[in-house]
Amino acid sequence: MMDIKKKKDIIVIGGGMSGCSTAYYLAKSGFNVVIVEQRSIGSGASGRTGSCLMQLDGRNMTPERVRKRLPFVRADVKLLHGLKYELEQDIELLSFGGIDIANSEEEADLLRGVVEIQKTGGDDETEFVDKVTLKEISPAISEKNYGAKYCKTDGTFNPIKLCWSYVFTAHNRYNLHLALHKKVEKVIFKGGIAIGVKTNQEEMFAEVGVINCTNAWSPYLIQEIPIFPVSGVTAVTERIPYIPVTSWESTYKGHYCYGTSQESGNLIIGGLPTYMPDTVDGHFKESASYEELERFAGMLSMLYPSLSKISFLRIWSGVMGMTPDRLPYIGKIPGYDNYYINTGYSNGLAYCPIGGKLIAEYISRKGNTSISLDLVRPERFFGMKFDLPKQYNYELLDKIIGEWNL
Amino acid sequence: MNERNQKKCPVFICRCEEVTEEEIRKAIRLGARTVDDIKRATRAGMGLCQSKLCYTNIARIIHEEIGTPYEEIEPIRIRIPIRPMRADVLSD
Repeated sequence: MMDIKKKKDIIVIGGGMSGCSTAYYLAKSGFNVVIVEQRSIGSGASGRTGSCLMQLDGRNMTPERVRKRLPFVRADVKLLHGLKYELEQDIELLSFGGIDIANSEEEADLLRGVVEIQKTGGDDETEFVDKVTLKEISPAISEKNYGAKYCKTDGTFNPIKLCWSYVFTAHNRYNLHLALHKKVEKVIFKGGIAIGVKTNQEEMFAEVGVINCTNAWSPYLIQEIPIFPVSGVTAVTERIPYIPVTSWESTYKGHYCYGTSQESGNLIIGGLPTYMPDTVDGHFKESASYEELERFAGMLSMLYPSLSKISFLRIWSGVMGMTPDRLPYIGKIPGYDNYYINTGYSNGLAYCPIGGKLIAEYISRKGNTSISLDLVRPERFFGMKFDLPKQYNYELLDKIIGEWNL
Repeated sequence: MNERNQKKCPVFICRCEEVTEEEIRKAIRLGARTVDDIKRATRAGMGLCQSKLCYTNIARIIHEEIGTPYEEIEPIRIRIPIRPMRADVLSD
């Protein structure tokens, strides 16, 4: 299969979207790369996400936040469109748009305000659409809405297929190997230089670098870089013929939900767990309860009444990694040599593919990246302590982070 | 069945998602070791029956390829609903 005792150039820790993207672009640059993953490719957040590609998600927007995010998310969408011609397997990218649905006149006013804020920040791909236009964009949507925020370049792709497409292509064309079901316990240093990793089975060595792509698990490896694990729940339905059902977000009776349809025809519904976990470890539980299934079924039936007769197949949970400003960490870890990081993703589809390309450029072109990495520099919160409530969920954390406004 | 025959007459292991034996063996040779790994690499087990029909065959192929004893090959984690349930029935 592969001789893991041979010295590699680069060890990528983590086999999710960020790890696979990182490994692909580095292998493409000519490096000999191995992905070391504690379970299997795409078994963390990347394999559990609701697969919505929403470049500017949520309603906590300021023009400054938009300006910071746009270079990354626009480059990400462009990169994804190019992958159709580059990778050996299709990633099922659909650009049918993304909507945030208003369920009342007050919400419509709020969303009109968000659209204005986004436009001020430089977003020329988002507008507020009325009920009639919304029906053209998403034919199955219920009559009871008050319009929506609509971004025409949003959509969906299959994140598990992205991971495996990156892996299969790089394995066939370049020099990429996998070391699955091996949990990295620590990084091995020699005189401040990262030279390899110690896993629960063996030690592996790398000449050029070790890259942390472990997202929610990153605090176990490096505590000084603040990442807050936070869970989300996702459910999938049986396949239906193409309609389209665009990527959507909605809040109804205080419950935030989102969803999309995949090219395969399955609908995805996602949201928050009914009860906030008691501890940080509780976010890693990865299972969902009947209350969530009931709630997601209710949301689907309410928002898309003609689809209320389709069946749910499965519901699960996953854990992603929020950072104090919702932007990832991409670059060299301060205080060490050959030790890099490309993680801290809580909107993976809009950031991970471009993030992997950027860290690969950083390493292969000696810091000369196509987008400035100043905003995502790993040292920006290094060693800082953040006061979080003991119990939190995605919505609460997003609100707190918005208030910090870092 | 050898590889050339597989391309002419593919053997479907997962009937719900139409995943062939060749695709499953390819995933194992790349590093997939559990039924869950194969599910993510090929979609086998993601369909209507949620691996009820294909799990034993996938386990057999894993055993043939890498020798894992049958008792150590875990099935896909069972999650609710244990069989497909309509949205309007669930939300009543």
